[in-house]
Amino acid sequence: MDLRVLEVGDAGAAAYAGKLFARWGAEVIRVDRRARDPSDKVQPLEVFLHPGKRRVAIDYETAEGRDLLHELASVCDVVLLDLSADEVERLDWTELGTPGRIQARVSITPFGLDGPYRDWKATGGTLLALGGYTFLTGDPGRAPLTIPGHYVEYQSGHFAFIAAVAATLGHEADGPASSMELSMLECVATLSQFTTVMWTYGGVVRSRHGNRWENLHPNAMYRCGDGWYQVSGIGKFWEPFALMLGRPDLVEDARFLTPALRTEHADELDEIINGVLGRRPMQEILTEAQETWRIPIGIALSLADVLADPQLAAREFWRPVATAEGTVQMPGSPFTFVGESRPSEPALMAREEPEALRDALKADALAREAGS
Amino acid sequence: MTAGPLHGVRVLDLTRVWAGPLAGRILADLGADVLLIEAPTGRGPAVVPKMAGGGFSFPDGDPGSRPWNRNGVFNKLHRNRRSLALNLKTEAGKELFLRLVAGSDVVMENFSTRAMPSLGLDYEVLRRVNERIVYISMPGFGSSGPYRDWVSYGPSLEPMTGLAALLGYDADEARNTCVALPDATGGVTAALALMLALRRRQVSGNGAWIDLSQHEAATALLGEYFIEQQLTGRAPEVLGNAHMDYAPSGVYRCIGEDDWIHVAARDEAEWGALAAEAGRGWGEDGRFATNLARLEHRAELDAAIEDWTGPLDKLQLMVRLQEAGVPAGAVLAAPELLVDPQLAERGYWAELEESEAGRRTYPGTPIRMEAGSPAAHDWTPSPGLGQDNDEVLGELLGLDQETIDELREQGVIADAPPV
Repeated sequence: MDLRVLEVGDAGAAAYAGKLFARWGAEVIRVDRRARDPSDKVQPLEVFLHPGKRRVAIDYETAEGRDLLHELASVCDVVLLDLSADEVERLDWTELGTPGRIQARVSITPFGLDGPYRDWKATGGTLLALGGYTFLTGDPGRAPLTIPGHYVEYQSGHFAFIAAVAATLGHEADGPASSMELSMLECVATLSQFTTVMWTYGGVVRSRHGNRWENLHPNAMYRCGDGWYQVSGIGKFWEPFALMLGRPDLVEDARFLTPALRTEHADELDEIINGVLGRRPMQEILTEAQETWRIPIGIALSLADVLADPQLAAREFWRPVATAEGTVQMPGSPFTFVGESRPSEPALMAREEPEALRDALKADALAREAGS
Repeated sequence: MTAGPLHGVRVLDLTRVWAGPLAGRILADLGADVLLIEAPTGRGPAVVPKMAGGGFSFPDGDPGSRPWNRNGVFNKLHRNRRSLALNLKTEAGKELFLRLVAGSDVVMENFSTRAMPSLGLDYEVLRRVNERIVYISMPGFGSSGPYRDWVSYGPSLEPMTGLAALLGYDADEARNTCVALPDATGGVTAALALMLALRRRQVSGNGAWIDLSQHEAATALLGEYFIEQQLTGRAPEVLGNAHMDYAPSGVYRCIGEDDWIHVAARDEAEWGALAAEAGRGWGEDGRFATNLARLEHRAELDAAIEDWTGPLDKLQLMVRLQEAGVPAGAVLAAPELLVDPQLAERGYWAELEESEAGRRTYPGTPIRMEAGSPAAHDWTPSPGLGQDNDEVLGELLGLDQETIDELREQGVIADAPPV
């Protein structure tokens, strides 16, 4: 991509959006709040988020730092920020970039730049709880479970990328930039499945049911001989699943005639399912379900299993990236352009001095201007 | 059509269920002209009750005599679109579809890999009528590899990504989120892939076929865990609601039948504020003196916190902790989410008047195109099945009314599912 992107912030969302820009060929400049000690251990998150980015450290809590950041932004096309609302405003963010060059500014904050929670603090867990996700996972009567990792941050990064690229598509040469705002809480609420409509239409509160799904059975995770498998034997897949169980009679069984009845008699159905599949190896269940019966079944893989998964290997999903502690395989782009190979993950880059980078970029801009 | 940066981009959306329609909704919210190309049977009475699982998605649980236009799960995902109910299994349907492709920018589908070739509508066919078309296919496992023909839903893909090895109360029992995470990641990833392809086309003039794997999209979000596994040679632990780097982090019981709060303290300032609010002497307790000590005594710390939060109201406690500088979030169920003051004050929710389901509230968009502007603009509700047949065929393809009526009689287009 023929864009230069400035990325500022620590919450992971701007960093993930910046990673996508770098993967697809944009020049990404990441501004860290402070320099890491060179003796620090290699951090998996650093390796994952920052390949291909030029890196500088600027203390933008100071006026000098903010000036320097504005100077860097002045030679960029896109600015991505994930800071607190106060910090975004202290940066005078809608003034970042040079008019005529800057195309998009995206502010990502936990709750948005206004509203009663504007200055509240959040982790991903805070936002999953408030956004309606956490309530749905886990056992009834026990503490609901938080999704591990950085789901909120990375999905917010996806939206930031979408917003920025959409703005560049609609941008006219020398036209004004779009200053767009994302709330991470709103990203979570936007990605609710049928949680809200179940209430606004049916008056039913969606809740958690262990490894079973709300009102859809058998759509559940089951223990088997050497692990766990998930079957979605619902809709058109109910009948082939009954056949796979060797129990075609279940299709005509009065207890299981409709989705509502299968949910009502879930315990009885599970007893039958466990009786047939409970001792079989999960790989065998997976292969038979998919290749003989075409039923959506998945098995619970360890991370090592996923790293060795034949599908991901055949599609060259894993891409090597060199670190100070050796080369690691990391997830590549989850989509490809057919006819092109999957893009390599760019290399991790050494940190640069911000003033030197600023001077080099400005010189480059002047040369481009002279050339045009 | 809404105002937005994608104004002028026409999308033919053949997707269904969740991931694909979510991608289409993102494009439509950004101003693209999204034409929903639906099979006349696609949301018919034979299908809807099966998918709805007991009627929760209909107004007051009542499917009515025309359930296809009353399904909340469908309506939520299909705003800002026009609907053409077109039978692609007929020759006339295929021909009309290809004429639409000729004047469009994007075709999106999330069928299994066999579906479009079996209709005779694969990418090469589409490209012959429009070299600039951007086509996205998004089967569960992608369009190549040994699992290419495997079938999937989000829940069945999820444990294949490694998430089940990280999520749960303990390592003994694998868990599913039961929120179909791969659909949400696949849908958003599809939207960004299309943005990228349109941007590339703007520069190169070339169309593209995007091969998206929903399996890979969900796996990609666990990147740092895979790297950790390789650097340390050890699998990350199943930590319940705890965090690997700091303590406390957890979901704690509050007063009420099923009321909980998520509380975390990432540094000494947040920990100090939490300890001061609790007033239980944690700041002077040697077991909790440093983050390392708190990680070591995590179980005792969690028990102490839950002993404190147990008799408290989750919403009041959330406000109190946030005002003290501690990240805290009440665990909200849908009715609470819908009245959350932050989302309400920012005008996040979209109120739309459905033609056959009344006025309903839906999630809005997290992308506010101009900071300070209201969240929702000139949105339109989900179209009824085939609602825009005449407009699309008349205005876009120049068909006269007589021809359109003949197509209707022949079952090429429909306004309701066939009986």
